[in-house]
Amino acid sequence: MEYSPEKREIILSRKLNNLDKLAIEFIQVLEKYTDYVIISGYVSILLGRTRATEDVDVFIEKISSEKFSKLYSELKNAGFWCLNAEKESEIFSYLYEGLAVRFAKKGKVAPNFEVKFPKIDLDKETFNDFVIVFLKEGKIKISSLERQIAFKRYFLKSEKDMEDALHIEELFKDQLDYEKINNLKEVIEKVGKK
Amino acid sequence: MNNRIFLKPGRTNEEDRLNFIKFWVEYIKVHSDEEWSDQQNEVINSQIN
Repeated sequence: MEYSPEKREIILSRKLNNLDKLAIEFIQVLEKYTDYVIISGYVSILLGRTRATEDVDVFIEKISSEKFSKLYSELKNAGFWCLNAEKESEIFSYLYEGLAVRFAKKGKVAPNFEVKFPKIDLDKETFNDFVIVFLKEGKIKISSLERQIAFKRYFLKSEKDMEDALHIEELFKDQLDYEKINNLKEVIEKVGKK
Repeated sequence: MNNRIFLKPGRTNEEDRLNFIKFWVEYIKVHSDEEWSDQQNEVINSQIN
């Protein structure tokens, strides 16, 4: 695994597991219609954590209902269904309300992709604070390692999240921007108090 | 075999889990992506078909 903070890329020659294959399949549809960033648990799994997850969290840039219609249609053609509703307008209205909607392979509920629009500035910044993970079979855009650590350690804070943060920190400790983590910690704590 | 890294047992469940994470990261660093991911995939694929 090679991480270049300057290029904002990680070269990963790992063998894909079933979750990676599904994530690549989903992303390849998604990125035709909107920008996306993978956040939270799956990032640490992609980077080697020995745990599974029931969902992959994804921020997508806000899109029009027309574009969403095309995206939803292609997701359905690719064998995905939405767990929250079947009707396109209903799914889109959930997204616009700031709610997350989940997609899984038709007939299944897990693993699923939890898709949401960014709500606050802190979320929106993720689209400019990312790393691309290059795999042999495709590429996956994740939020920056510092952002991952800060969110897990200072916002989510569960045992699992603290362990995910430790994994990423131990793996890349000589290449992390600790000032950035501290700055994000301050912002996260301010948001948390509101 | 002389270069083996050993896992320090934790005195609590939490310490043991954290020690394993550090141990696993060291394993990732000294083994190829293919080698560690093969093992990780056994864990993940056993839960996700």
